Amino acid sequence: MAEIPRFAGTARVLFSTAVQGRLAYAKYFFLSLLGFFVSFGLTLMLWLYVNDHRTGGLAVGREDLVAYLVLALAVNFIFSFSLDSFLAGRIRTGLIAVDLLKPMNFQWMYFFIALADVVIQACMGAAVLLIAFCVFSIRPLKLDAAQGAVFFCSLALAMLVQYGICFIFTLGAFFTNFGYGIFNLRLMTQATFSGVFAPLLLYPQSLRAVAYALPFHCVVQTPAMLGLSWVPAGQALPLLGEQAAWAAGLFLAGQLGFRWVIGRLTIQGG
Amino acid sequence: MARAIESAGPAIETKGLTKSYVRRVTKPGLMGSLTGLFHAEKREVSALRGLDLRVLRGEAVGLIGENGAGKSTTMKLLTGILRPSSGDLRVLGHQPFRERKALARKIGVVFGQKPQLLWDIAVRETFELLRVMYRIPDPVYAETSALVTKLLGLEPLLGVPVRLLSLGQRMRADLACSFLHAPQLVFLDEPTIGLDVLAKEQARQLIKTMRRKYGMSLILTTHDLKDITDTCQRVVLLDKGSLLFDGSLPAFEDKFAREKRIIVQLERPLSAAARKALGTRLSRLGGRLLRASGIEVAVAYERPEAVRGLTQALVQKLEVADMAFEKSDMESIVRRIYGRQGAKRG
Repeated sequence: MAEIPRFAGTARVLFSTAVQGRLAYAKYFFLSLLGFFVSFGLTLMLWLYVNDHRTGGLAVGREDLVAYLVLALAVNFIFSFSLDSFLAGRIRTGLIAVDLLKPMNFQWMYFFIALADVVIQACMGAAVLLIAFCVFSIRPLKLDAAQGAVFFCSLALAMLVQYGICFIFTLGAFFTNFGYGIFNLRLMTQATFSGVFAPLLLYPQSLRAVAYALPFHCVVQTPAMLGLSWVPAGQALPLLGEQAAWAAGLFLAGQLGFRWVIGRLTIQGG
Repeated sequence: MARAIESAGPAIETKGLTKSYVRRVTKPGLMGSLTGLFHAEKREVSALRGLDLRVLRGEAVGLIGENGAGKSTTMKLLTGILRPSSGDLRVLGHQPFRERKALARKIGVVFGQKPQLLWDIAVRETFELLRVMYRIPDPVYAETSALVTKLLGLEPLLGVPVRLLSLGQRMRADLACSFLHAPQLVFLDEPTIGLDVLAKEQARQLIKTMRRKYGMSLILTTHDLKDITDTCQRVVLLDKGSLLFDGSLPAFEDKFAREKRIIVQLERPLSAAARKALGTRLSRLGGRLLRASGIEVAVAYERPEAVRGLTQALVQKLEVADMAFEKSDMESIVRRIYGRQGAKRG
């Protein structure tokens, strides 16, 4: 039992140092926000154009579509940490050796570092959401206590799923020794199947089936749907359960995969 | 505060330790890179070939060898970063690769070119992170952090972000990190790389002080052999992954440093003909003319009985202004060994 407060203490300091590391670069915030605004604005404009010029209309109403996209893009932004790219860089330069000398579970260690990114991105995302609500005259999220609890619970699980996905992709970099391919593969797969650029409801049947068989929708679409109350709190349990199952499964797979790849590790650079 | 050195078992014990890996070899140039996308020759490289090594607790061992001799691979196997291809390995009672986390608490490691400092924030934040991560008791941390700060002159650097430090400052701070938890065994891989003469001296002082105070065992690899003569009692020489020598510093010198030198300062430089004649005469007397450049002549010999004849010949044949006798230093011994090994391979 004495392990828990010790672990919490290490986690707190890891988180704190990681936040300090991010705050050391002020320009990063502005560029990151600029990138988000561009992707955010273009996606919304594109979809509104499609919606307004289609004769048959879409399966989702205009207001719902905008609200969904705003929330989905914000959630995606919050979870856009690039752990796989960062770790792949450390594998390429051999700095991974230093990480492996720490008396801590590797997967947990990087979880708290990723969490620092999420908290910073969430602060920026909240500011963007406020602006978006004003610019697009979207009704703010009207969440009662139960729906709010479900939404935040879903966000927490989404973080775990996203970390699990990134970690699994990172394992690939132990083989390739170079992370860009892995990082690009993850970004593209995630952009396609997470529902960030459109609700999966608008996808063709076959593509939707693939998307629901993969974990990516648990990171973006599930919390967005719960945040917009498209699924009432009373019916949210299966969605939360699915997120929890993916989070646990990916974490376990990450642990097993890590043990396997680490045995084949070559430290680059002597 | 000195920790009682556990007497049970050695600090390190390896038997038949090997490590090999596969290296992809592509043809040179752009075409080579393109064809390498689909087909590359794979070559097995043996980095370590059956190393038997036993290091006692509290012992300090210098690991030397040419580039590619297997020193860093040995360090990575001993610290649990790499899995051995075969052989047995125990470090402080642990199997390093299988019990990496448990072992990490007991060891301190510096990889000279792979800093553990957090790049973007102040040095003291890394210290704090290591304090909680290694669960260092408050009194131990108070003592070790004060000691490393003082001995390495880190006080003015503690509040500076690591990315703003010079290479030497960063190396000193990184060295400090590996001693904060007062480890039982320290692995230092090129710990003085990038340090100036004064900082090197500070680093050696720190190593000696920490070993004396906490009874740490030490494995040190370096290309600056003064690091070894200053801090170690034993030398292990590796060549292409195999053990070439393992013994005390005096034994190392006995084995490889039988050669001594006579250095003569002349009144005026020698002509080419006189140089040639001198070389012939000295070799008949059991000596070897190493150099005769300007007003300095250096003669090497191995058998003590050759000294009398050589000095007489030098005094008779040359206008001697001064004469001195030199024992080979570690640097020149190792240079000769590496040269010999290279010639054998070549």
